[in-house]
Amino acid sequence: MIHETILAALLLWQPPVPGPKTASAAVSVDIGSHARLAFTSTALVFPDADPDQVSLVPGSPDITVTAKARTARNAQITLTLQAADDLRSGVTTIPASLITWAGSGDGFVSGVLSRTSAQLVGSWTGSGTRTGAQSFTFQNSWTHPPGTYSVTFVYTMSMP
Amino acid sequence: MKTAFWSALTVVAVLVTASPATAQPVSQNINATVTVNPLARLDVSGDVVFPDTDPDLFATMSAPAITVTARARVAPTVDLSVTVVADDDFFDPLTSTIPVAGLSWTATGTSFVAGGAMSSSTPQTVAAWTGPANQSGTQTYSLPNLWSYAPGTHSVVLTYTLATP
Repeated sequence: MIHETILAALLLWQPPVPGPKTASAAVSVDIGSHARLAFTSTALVFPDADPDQVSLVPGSPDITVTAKARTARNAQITLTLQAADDLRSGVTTIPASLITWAGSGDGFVSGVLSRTSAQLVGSWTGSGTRTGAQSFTFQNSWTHPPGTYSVTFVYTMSMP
Repeated sequence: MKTAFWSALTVVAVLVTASPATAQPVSQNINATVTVNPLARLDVSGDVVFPDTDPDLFATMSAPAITVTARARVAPTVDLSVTVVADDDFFDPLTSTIPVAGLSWTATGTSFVAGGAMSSSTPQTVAAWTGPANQSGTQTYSLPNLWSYAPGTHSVVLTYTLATP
């Protein structure tokens, strides 16, 4: 019985196989800094309204903002908004500060439009994709001269 | 007397010249020996490089394929395998935004597994077969291209192993 066992073990045994049996490969990934802003609409409309009935005219549509950024881990990212001018209809102007917005979404804040300084729309830390919304309102008044006013909003996303 | 002698001699001469004309075959044995020792070798054609691309334009990062060649002289019943494992959990261990588990591959070649995903803890099977062979296949690696990655040039080392007795 012992002889059979030893014989079976000898038959099953395989000699060691020499030779180089490992190899290595380096995998490298080049990640560059990228940033992109996207809006669901680039046109915002405030319709005419009776000041006695509508003191704050809602803008349409609400703007969904998507801010994408690849940046260093602890880098601060800010998104700001500044009006290129006051609301203008020919030579007649209405202060841009009559437009305000309510911000929603992680990192998004509310604010008041300004012609003179950039106003914070949102802020975040590190790489990622952030999506939020702005709901705009216009302060209605009997003292606004009639006209069709327009202004350009300038959004700026900053990061190191 | 002389006549009898010469007659006998003639008979002997006749008997001698009457024997068969063909010679007996001669054979000789030679032992030939061929030595085939066990041997194994594993080669990988090069490194894998993912260039930077815009995440909005390319959802997946791709790299040129590499060739893996495994050769082994073993007994016909011996099971062999080629495995691969990464040396870290993340391409960027300081910021930990690019997990190695996201690295996947597709493969072509006889006895090569069609595809797989990388691990830093468990070697993943690349190819497997039984008996001696000269196996060669290609692997094409890919990685999701996400906005959440930290910028920089990051790397890991893959170790391929040909398992033999």
